[in-house]
Amino acid sequence: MSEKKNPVVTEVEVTTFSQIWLTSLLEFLSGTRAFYFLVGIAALVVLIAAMFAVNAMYTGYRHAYGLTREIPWGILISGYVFFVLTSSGLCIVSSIGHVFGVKSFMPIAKRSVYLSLVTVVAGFTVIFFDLENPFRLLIWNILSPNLTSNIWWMGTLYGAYLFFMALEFLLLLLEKHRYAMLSGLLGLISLIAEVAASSNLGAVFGMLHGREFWYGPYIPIYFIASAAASGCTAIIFFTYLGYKITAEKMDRAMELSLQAVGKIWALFLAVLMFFTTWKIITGFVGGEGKVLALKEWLTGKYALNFWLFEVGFGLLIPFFLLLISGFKNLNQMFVASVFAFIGIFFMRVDLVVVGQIVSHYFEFKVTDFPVILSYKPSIYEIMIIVGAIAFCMMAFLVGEKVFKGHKTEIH
Amino acid sequence: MKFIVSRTRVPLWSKGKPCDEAVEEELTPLDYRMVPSIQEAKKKIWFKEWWEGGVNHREENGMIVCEKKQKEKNWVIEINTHEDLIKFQEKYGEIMNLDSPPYKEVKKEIRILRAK
Amino acid sequence: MFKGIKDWLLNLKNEGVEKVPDETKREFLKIGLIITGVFAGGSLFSVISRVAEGLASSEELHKSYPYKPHYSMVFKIDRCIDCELCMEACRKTNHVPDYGWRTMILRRYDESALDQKTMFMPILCNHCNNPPCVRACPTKATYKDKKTGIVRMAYDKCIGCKTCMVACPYNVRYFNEEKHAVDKCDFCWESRLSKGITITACAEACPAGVRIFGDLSDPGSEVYKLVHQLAKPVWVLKPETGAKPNVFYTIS
Repeated sequence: MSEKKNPVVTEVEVTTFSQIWLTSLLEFLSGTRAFYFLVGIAALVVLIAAMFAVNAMYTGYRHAYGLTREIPWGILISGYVFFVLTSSGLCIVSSIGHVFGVKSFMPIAKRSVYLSLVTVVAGFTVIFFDLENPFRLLIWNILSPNLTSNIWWMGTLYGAYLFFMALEFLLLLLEKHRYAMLSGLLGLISLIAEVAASSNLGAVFGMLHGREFWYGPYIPIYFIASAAASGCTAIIFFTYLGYKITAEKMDRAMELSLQAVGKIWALFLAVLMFFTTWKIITGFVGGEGKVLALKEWLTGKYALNFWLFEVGFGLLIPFFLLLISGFKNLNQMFVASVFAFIGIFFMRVDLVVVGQIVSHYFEFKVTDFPVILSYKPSIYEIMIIVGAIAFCMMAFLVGEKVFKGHKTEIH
Repeated sequence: MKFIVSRTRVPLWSKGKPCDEAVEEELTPLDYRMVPSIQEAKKKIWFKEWWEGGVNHREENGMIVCEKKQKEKNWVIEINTHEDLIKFQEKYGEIMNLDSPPYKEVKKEIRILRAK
Repeated sequence: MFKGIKDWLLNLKNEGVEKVPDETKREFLKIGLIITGVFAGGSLFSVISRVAEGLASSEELHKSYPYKPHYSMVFKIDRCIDCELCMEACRKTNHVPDYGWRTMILRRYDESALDQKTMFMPILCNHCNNPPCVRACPTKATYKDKKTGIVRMAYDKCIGCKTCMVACPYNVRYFNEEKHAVDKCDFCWESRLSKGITITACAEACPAGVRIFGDLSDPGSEVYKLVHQLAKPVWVLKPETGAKPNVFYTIS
């Protein structure tokens, strides 16, 4: 090995973000084939998805998407819920460390904050292509706010969250002790905005009194619990992959951190299991519309989604893998997170779609609509979701390289 | 023997010393990578950063390791006898003894199970 | 004291049907027949007037209506023959594209019905007093007109999130591509009422007199008379949602 001339820098005092950004960017340019191949593939998928999305925008969503006036929300809304709740979860779980100062949660904080930003941006991108007039939102959200609308609160709070979290991330990058207080404070504000936003997202569904399947006070609470579970999933998934990329030896602090995350995860999985069970049992003694939706979910067209993906992949397999792993075997925990990610996506799809499948006028024995309506996502919708996932992977990979494995701990 | 000293909970408003005896010291982090040989590490995405960011590169226990050039500041105490450790524990309440993040100078960490 | 109540309870006598005057009995039977007549959909909730469910609260029934004029529509549902002239008039008047509709005639079919097995049920926006769509809209693009109570659209404010479409229990909203906004029935406010015409296009076009349009706050109007009576059943769709619709159904 030819000894490279190392510049004699003993203490690199990086003072401004632009400097970090620049050096990081240059670092990104140096690397090996496999890594860049992956980044390239992800970028390509994002590009192809973007072409689909823009095409859909120009041809009109009525033609491009599999949506109808009876089922106007499809997997793009599911995707949005998936991404922003993952973002919320990353924020909630990591804030135990960087806001509330619990030492054992600190090692995961930086990566979580970064990924929380990435996933919320992915969520916004997905909803951008669901909104028919996204640009009007920017104007009328400010000029004509409807304070009784959960959508308004949700969008505004997520916007505020993005702003505060981005600021906090910058402060974390600067690694200045004198900013620690400010950074923690920003973290706290972001956390409050995020929790309020995700519970409002739940209320978007829970407050539709015309929709029995959703209506009720529990969906906002469920969304927070579900967000926390997704956050734990994401932390374990991405931290594990991050360590694979850098091949670093995981130190004890990080191991303890992931163990703690694993335990919280198991707790929230249990909460979700109870929620799902009681939602179903109470639903069956409820109104006829709810019973019809539940039947379709559990035994009809969505039975595979429910039993295999939601219950199997999303809840039981991760839960038992976690128990088997003793919260120590990281390989098992990673496998659990892969299953859980797939399961969670189906949970979001079913939540959104099953809430709309019962025909509005079913109780009148109307022949114009079937009792159970059907929705099939179009290739455009699927590609937008795939693109958003690819974007997250790409941003994650680039982040690992640029921010050097999010190594430095927050003191 | 030197220990890094920390607390299980660090409130937002007190980022100072975890205990009275702690002194801030610059420590040399060891950068372990799970690759058996330096030769193999050359193919890796992080190689340049690892190579240029450290000195004294070597192979050790089936891993490779170097000492990072960028030092990290940490709160450190020195406890040499068992009696001192007990005294420390009596002063600050229960403590945990952990493997510290890898440093050249310090291998163990004492964590006080209480916020300051 | 308790003994007194006990005695009173024990001495209560059965009134019995034999004491009811014949006329009342005949009226009661008539109502019974009416019930059988509209059985086809099984949506009849009670033989008494359902007007309370359409209002902001039941106390307001005999006092005042929240809007002036309080626009309302009453369907004499048994008269509908599914000629679809109302739908056509609506399309022409309000420029409704072929992929959407503001009003529609649903066909109800019940194999187990004793008499007719088919019945037609026209629907349009119910202009609810507690509209789920208006609450859900983030930008006030859909709003309850303060004067008339009509649920209207400010098309340029619509961001196309389609929450109102999901929120509506009646499926009366659709996304209009030409307008780049969600579109819905506005009781012909823009096309007719604001120009001084007093009747909606659909009500005018109906050859069977199914659609009665008018001001519910005016005791002299036909809609007021149709809603404020007990002889014939009056009902609204999906009262359980609490939306308090202003579109009523009755029979002729």
